[in-house]
Amino acid sequence: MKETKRRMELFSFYDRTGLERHLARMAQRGWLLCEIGQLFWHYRRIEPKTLRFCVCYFPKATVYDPGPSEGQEEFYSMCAHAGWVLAGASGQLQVFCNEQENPVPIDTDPALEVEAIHQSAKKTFLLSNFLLLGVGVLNFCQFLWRLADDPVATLSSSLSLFSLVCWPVLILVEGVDLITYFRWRHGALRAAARGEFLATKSHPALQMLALTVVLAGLVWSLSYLRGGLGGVMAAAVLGSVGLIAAILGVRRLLKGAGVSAKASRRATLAACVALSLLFTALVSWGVVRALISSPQPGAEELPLTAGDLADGDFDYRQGLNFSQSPLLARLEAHQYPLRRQGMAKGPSVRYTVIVVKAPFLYGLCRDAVVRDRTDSWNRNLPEGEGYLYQSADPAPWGAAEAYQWTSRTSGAGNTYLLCYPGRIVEIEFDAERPPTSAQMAVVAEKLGRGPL
Amino acid sequence: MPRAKFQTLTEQMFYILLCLREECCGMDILDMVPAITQGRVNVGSGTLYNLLEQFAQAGMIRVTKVEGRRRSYLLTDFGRDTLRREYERLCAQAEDYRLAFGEE
Repeated sequence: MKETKRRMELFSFYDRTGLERHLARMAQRGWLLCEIGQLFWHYRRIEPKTLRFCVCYFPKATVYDPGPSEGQEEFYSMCAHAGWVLAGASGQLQVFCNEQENPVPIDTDPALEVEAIHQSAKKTFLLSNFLLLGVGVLNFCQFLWRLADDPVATLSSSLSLFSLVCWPVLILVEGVDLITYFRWRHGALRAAARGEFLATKSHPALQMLALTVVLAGLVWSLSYLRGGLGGVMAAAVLGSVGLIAAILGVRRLLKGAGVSAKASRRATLAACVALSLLFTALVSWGVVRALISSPQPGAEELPLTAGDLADGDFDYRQGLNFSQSPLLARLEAHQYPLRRQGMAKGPSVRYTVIVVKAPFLYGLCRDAVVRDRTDSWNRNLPEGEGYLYQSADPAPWGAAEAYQWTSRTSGAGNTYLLCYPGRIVEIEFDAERPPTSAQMAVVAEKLGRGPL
Repeated sequence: MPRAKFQTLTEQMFYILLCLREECCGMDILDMVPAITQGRVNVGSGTLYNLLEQFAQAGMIRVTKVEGRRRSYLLTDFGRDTLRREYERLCAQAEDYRLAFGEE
């Protein structure tokens, strides 16, 4: 039979009412709070009984204190005199329990209690929640900017798409928490003027739901990554958990060694900065290494090769880039011939295939491909001299629509945009080798319908 | 502005200061207040700790002795004046009531 238990409690910092009710329920089930850890709350088994709990706040305390201050000791002894025994404490948060049936509460002046909660909240809960809200808003704005700039790359990356889940959830959770707190404080101050206490409220179920959604989203987005990059990103996620554990470990170590709160705060901050930099460097190195060391794709991995388009024995170097999400899949590939003395130069080919899994995104992706090429080619050209996609005959390509990249001054080129049902293909041939009907049919078969 | 803060006293503040006309520690006050008021007023330990700290900062009480976890306090002249002013205010209120309703 287990004698101890750890739980992650997702109550908001200021939610004394919710915590008191929860702890009393735990005691009735035979579990008494014995320590508030860095991530988990620790309980020990007791005989199930009715206990009264009181959660109060000691604004001068910090999580860096090596032990209770003289003032805290005096406070604890006053509480003990009234039957309140300290069950656990973490920073400003102090939890007491009492076996008496109707003990005098620790806080009997509502105005002082509201003030103590607010003073404590300013140092911890409000600071961290506003910071996280800011991080969430900034990152979500960055996601929206990327989405507007390059929707295909953004929507075909599962990690980018994770931003669509992660940051709004963070904004929602932090926003709801802050609004609930300030609404409570407003009401509590008015109630205190009447000499009354106002019960607090937080949303542990929402926090749990948010945590579950974010973790599920993370696992799901990692599952879409191919090759070494997926492993590196999974290691980075585990590493970030390790990073948090290491920083908390440093703080615990300093606390245990009796280092003063001021020195401990500085040392923990320094460790936090150093370990975060080290972690970022390691992840960047891992990503670069995964990209560099991934073997050059074989020609057989490309859905369409230059060899499919022309006869002859040529040597090629090729590149392949694939990303996918539940909304889109994007494959970029190229094959360029290697020059050999005395040998003819083979044909080259370069293409991008976008598989649109969500039909409502089709128009957006096609327009984005057109806009991307038009913007990059026409950037420094005077008006009237630029390039544009002009409508072409789709029949030889077996496509629903076809467009040819055309210069306003020198005529049509050898780049095509082809629209197939659920697929968009942009293909670039050699400038001096326009595609033949047979080659167009091969493109239709390999890229318009074939597997990627 | 501590003076503005304690211009009027709550019931709990009043009785805490009243207890401190003689040197005593926090735990004594926790017992004395309900004893003086026949259980009508109780002061919580957290509230008492906060008020003692605020009274000391405002110069209304001073620490007289520290014995381990126990700290003893005593009313200062300023604290005594504050308490007297509050007493006079309460008396004036009681007098106003008598004038309004007559002796009952």
